Amino acid sequence: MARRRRAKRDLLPHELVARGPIDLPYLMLLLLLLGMGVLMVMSASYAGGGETPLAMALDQAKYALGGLVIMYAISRYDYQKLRFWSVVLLAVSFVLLVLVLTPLGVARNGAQRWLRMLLFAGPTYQPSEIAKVAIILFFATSLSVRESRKPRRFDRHTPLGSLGNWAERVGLLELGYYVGILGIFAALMLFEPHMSGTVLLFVGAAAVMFVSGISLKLLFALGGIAGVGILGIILLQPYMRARLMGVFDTDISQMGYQSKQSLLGIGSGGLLGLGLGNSRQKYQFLPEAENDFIFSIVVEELGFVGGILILALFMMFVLRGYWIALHARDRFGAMTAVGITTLFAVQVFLNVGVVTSLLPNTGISLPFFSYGGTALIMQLAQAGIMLSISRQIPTPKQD
Amino acid sequence: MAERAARRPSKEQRAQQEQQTKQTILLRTMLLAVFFGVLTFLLLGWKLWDVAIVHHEEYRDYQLRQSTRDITVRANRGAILDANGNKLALSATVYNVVLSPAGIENHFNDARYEKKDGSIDREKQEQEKTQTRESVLRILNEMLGLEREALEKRLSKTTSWHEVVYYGLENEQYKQLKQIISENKLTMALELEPDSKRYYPYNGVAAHIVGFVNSKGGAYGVEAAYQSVLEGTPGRIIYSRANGGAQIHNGYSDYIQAQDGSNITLTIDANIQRMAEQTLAAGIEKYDVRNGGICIVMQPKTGAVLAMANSPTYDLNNFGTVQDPILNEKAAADKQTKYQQLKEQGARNDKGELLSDEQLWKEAGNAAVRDALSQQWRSKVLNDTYEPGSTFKSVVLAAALEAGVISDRDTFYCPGYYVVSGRTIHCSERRGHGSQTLAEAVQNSCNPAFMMIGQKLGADKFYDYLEAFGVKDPTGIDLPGEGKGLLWSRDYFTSAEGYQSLATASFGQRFTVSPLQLLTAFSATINGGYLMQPYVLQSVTDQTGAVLEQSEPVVVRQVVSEQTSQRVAQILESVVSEGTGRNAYVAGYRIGGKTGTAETEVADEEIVSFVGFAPADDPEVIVLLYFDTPRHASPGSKYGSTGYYISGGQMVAPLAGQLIADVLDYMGVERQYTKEEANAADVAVPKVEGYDLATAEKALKKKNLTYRTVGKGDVVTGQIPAVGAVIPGNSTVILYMGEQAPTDQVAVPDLRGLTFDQAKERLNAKGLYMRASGVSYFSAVTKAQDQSGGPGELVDRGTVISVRFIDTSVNDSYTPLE
Repeated sequence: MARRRRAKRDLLPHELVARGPIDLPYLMLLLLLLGMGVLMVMSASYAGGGETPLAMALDQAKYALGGLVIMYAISRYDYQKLRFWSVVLLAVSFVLLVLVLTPLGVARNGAQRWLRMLLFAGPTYQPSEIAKVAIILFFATSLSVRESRKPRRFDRHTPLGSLGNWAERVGLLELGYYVGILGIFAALMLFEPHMSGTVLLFVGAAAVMFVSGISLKLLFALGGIAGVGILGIILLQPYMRARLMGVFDTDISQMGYQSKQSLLGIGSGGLLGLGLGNSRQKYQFLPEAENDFIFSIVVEELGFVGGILILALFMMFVLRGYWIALHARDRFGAMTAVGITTLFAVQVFLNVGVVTSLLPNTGISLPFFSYGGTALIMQLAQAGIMLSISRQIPTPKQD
Repeated sequence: MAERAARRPSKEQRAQQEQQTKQTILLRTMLLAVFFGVLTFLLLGWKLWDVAIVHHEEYRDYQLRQSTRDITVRANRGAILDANGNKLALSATVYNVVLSPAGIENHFNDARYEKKDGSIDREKQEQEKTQTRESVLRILNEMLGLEREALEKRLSKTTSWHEVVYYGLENEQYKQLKQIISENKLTMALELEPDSKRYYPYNGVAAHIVGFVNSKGGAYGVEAAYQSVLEGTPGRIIYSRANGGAQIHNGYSDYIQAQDGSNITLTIDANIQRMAEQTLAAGIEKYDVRNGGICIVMQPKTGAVLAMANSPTYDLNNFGTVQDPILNEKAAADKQTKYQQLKEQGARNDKGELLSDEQLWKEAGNAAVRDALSQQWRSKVLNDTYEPGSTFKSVVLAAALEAGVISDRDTFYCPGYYVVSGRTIHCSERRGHGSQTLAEAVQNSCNPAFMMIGQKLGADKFYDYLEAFGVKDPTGIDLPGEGKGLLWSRDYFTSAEGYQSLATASFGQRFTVSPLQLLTAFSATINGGYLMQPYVLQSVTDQTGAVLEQSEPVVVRQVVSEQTSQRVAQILESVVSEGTGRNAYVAGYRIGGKTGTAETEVADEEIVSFVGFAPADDPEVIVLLYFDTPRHASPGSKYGSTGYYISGGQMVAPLAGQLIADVLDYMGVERQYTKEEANAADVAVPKVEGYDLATAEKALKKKNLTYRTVGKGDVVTGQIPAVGAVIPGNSTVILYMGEQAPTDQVAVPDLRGLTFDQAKERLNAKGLYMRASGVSYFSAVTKAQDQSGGPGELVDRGTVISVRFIDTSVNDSYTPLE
């Protein structure tokens, strides 16, 4: 103890700041969600998910523990240094995304999204998970200093030059830069293909851009064009249109098998549920019950009350994330927090939306709940960054 | 410059801009927080409410349908027992062999053959699958003789879990197959599913009463009438299951025990039923009867039916096969007509194409068999109605006696005809019976006398009695499909135009009754006057033997008084002892009865019948036996194709009398002989060999036997018949004096058509003895009809030949009304 106190005294001011207390509400909410998540994986996978009834749950618990250690380590790390590392991380994730497309990538169900930890061996992970965080960090790094960036100048006597000046003035050039980077990453991910990962990549990046004060007109115009384009593609393709329209269809006999089974699970839960462990849908009726559709099992077993409770925890978790962003010491921290938090929020929304048939099936997992080791570790790492940011929140002045 | 200044903001401006950006970031973060932290969650919450609460019941029920399995547990069908507890119908567990092509697919799934690198070993998978299929084919082919081709077809339905390939595997085979299945590890491919099969151990006995079961339950007879009693209540097993069918052991499950059906005990006695059926079958053959016949044996005092035989009949275990030879003959002829009909109609198949000749024959054949089957399943006893003819006179007699319009002092003059409303109706005795007492009129079955009786009674009263005797209503027997006859309306019957109807009704013509209606009405005339409701169900018991229901005799009403009934019984007894029923006589039993020969709608088709009961003073059984259409020797002939005079008295009475005697013997009713009958009763031949003649004579006399001697010795050296042989009393024993008794065999002479004395002489000449039966007295008109031991058969000397006589003078044939 003595050693530590002395050490603290010896710390440089910025190091001292990085040693602030972590945000306890955020941590508590996270631990609650994680605990329930592991418990639900155990219940959902009990009926034949793994080789033994508890195999998957133990697996998930191991990753959760490992993830917590990593989270703590990251929370101790001064996130300011991430400004530098974000560039490296972006470069690394770019390389990894390229590697995925080479024969080194592991394919499952027709999608080549995985790499091995040691390239040729070890457990698999999705480089897109890293890319999502890298983009957020990189954009936050870059956009947090946009105020001090000097505007670019072109020779206004040439037509091209004046066009460039105009573009710079209205912010098109700045936007184009980010959209360009984003586009390259998105293209790589679409090659895998990994639609849901691409969506989340956009979400994280867009949130950072939005919050950075970039021109809303341009952002919305661009988003609008993209949105109209995507909608057009969807409406032009009959099967996608059917999938979209399926959302408004309440006749379950017309639904796709997975959506139908998901609704049956939630519906049979009722107000209070069948009780923990008593799901009937997990007996091979609902595919991937411990994975993307785990929320259906949650509601079936714990009822509407349990489902709402978990949604409420998620809501508080997300709002606390934004709280951290609002109180962050600097713009970089704020933007990073916004990016990560929005990413969590959108994942929850998309996942639960799909499970309840509010949205068409997209294949996005539920943070802290869905089975999957590397994804969980990545989520906990992101939470680690959030906690690291929370350490540097200035203590309110006491009068 | 100003532009430039604007582009290069001052420190203050920069601070201001900084502040502004900070504001923007804050604002936009809060916007995001509101949007992603609140709104989206509200949306999710609403949707969750909609699915989990609003649609709760719909989804829960849907989910339960897919995740619970509801299996019906069979209830064992109750047995049908006869009066002695013999099982006429019973159910046993059998097994159906179920093939599960999807089960094989499921067993040899991809996951089973996944190699370490994630690829699937298709070759091995195919090989093992084929191997399994092959052994399934081989086992089913070898054990059950199922054809490979058909099985392969079923096996190829790879999405089907349940293909029944064999029904009704019995115990031995079941055990064997079950072992083979487990030894060969084929449980995923073959399943033995319990099922129930109905057995009828007595085959065709009481077929029309017992009935049979088809896929929908009891189809005929008691099986149908008491379907709800017999079938029981199936139980259920409900359990949660995983997708694919496996039971979830910690899931919801419930078991509702099956309630087995109850057993039904009938009043029918299988032995009496057999006697009735044999009597019926014998008559059908003997008289070349075309349209079958019926035989009912009932307890007159209770209405309990002891036997109810029907011809044509069938084997309950093979109810789908036409067995009666006459029905088969008719079906063959029917096929011809149906073929012609179809051809003329230009029959077409479903697609509208004309049928080929071969198809037409097939179609016609099927239709003919269908008709024949429905005829063989049909119960003539319940469904047929007929003109009862003279058997109905018993009812008219009882009614008139009860009403007091006739008495024993009355005489009836029969000139051979009677004129009613200007129409002459002849008596069967064209020369007329002359002056007769009441009893004589009944003995003669004299139509003019009964027309007079009917008129004395008057149409109104007559109709009252018709109703009282139940001629208008079904009897209410506890079997389905009972018919009732056609009767005039009271208005018509009592009107002037109906006057002739009164006349014909007096001798049982021009209206119809069901056999049961006649029998119950007849019973009421001799059982003390009570119209009983006939029944076949004695009791209902559960599987533990506890009685749930017990039938008691039901008196519909008392129709005539005890005295009237006694008098009718006396008169009817005299019909058998002296009158038209005399061929029904059996020594030792006081049988009463009435013959009947009735016309049908068709010329040369008569129904010959006899109703008899015994003992006359206290009736234990009553029998109705009738044959529908004995074939005539030639059109218009009074004789049948087999040489018998067509009448109830000559055809039916002998058979019915014997049946009554057999039933009484079986029931243990003791014979009571008159003195005359006692003389002719059987005795055992005493030992006289080695005695002198005087001693022998004394010994024989003591046994009511006479003797004649052969040879001239003093001592009896041989005797025929041998010691202990049972011969009728009054027979002559041959004593050999100093000679050896011959030991050769002799041929039985043909006695048919001979009188009593002639027959006895013929037999005695050969050293054979005669046991005569059939009538109570012997005269020039009683002729031998049947004999035990066919003509020419070699038998030992001293053998007793039973000879049945018939009084050929009985004249009760049908007299055409027009």
